[in-house]
Amino acid sequence: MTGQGDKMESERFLRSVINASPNAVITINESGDILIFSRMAQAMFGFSEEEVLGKNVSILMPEPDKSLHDGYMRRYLETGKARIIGRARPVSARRKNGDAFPAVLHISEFEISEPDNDERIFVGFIEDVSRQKATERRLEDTQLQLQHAGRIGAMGEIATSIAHELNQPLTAAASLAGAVSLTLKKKTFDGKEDALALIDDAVSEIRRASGVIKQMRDFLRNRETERALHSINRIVEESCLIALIGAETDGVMVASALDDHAGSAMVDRIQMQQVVVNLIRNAVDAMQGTQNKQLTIATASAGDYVEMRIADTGSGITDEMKKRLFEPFATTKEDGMGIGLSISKSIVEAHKGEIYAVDNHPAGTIFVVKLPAAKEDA
Amino acid sequence: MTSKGKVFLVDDDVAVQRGVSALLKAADYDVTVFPSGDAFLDAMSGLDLGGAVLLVDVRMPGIQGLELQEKLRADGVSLPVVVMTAHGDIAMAVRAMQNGAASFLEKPFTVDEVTAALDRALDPAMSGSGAASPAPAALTARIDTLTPREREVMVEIVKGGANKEIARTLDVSPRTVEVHRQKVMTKMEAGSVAELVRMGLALGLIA
Repeated sequence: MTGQGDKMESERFLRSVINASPNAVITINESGDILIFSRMAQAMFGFSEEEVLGKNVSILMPEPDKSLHDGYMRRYLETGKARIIGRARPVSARRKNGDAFPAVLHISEFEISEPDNDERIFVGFIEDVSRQKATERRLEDTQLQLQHAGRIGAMGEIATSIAHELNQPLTAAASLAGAVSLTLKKKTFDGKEDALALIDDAVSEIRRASGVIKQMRDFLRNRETERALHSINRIVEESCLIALIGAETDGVMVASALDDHAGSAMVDRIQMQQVVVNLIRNAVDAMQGTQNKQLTIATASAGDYVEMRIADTGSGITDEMKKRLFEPFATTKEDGMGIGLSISKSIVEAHKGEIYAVDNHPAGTIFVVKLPAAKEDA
Repeated sequence: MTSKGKVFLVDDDVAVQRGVSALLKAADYDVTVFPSGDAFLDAMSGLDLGGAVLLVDVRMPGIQGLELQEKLRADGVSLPVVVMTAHGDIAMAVRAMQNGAASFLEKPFTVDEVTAALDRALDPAMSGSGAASPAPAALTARIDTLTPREREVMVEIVKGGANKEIARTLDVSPRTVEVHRQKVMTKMEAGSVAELVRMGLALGLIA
């Protein structure tokens, strides 16, 4: 009798502990039938305990897990290979009203050994992270908007150079067409071949102009991030095209040292271009007042990382400034907003990379960007 | 066919060299192309500069259009200069005009614009002086018809400001600046921004 009383006492105690848990606690047997459905679980899913006791736990899941769950359990019971047990993992859960929500699920198991009942029980602890996710998404949106603003800012700073870059092919095309027109008006017209060659040239110059526009538009588009495998050299080359417009006319000597084996990384191409464009424009600006203007752009493979280095021979960065370099609005430029480097840092860090500045010798600064290298077999 | 004059074209862009020289040849000018200001300076001693005009881009690697113009002036070379600029570079073109350039052209330009600018520069009556063709009295009469706001807008245009910058400077909308700009061009009887700048300089609107 005392044994019976102890058991009831300990069950009450257990139930109190379960109901006091801030996470939803749900236990199921080997068939997936729900045995315990804690108070927090009732609040989270909207089911009362009576509604779910004895039902298959898959009613708490959206598709495709809903249909696959029995299979998951069977495989585990047969092979003993756990895919989810013992670690927390993000899942999608489903409330009574049908709404799916993001959750973090942690599963433990234990065995009940009784004379005529030998069974494994699984305990799930579930945390509703929909609020967290919403906050993260808002933060991400804000960052994307900030990055977009940064790209527009970068473009604004080089607007004159862009006008020049566009007007060259347009001038050539308009002039070629004008030459054809004048030639055709002449009474002694005999240069059909010449005229055709001029027209062909005009068309190819118009293409050149539209190529410039397309590149600018890609860069300026406000967009979702898309990560894919990209060659780091390719990204640097494309960025140079955008960033170096007009740089030569500012008297800057550009050298590139791209390592053929620099490799690839999983990155968002436009975001990474933004980082490189920004660093190159900064480097060019840093050399405005100096006699020796040497810009060196290098890539390399460095262990598990791919590396980009943008080196200038400008006035360098004071130790005081180095501390605040990546903080927003910490600018030394008269017309700059000071958000370029802080945006670059947030982009690089979102890619699990690093960005930092070191002194160049004898003068100037080297900005280093390191990104996790993509595995060759991936 | 008699040549309408000699043109020394200086531009670093190969396509522009080909396009503009084809255009000028078709318009009966005698064209020689130089890929840079330095190349022109190197070749200059062997050139006959009489009856010639220098058509030069303001933005190039190496010696730029303005420096080339200043160097020629410092060396006492009297060669009329027409500068070419991309949109947004008007301020640079204005400086070229202040330094005595005969005219400037905004790229891309039409046949009529370029021939008008070259012919004006080649006209011996015009060379060297850089003065505006209408008599100063006529210009003063025209500018007196401008409202104070229109006059302000004209000063900003002559300084090389784009509509947006002028709007910011005067604290009005870009649309308003556009309207004033039209009025200014009409009242001043200016066919191009280059002409308006020339008038502005003749009137001493900017230093």
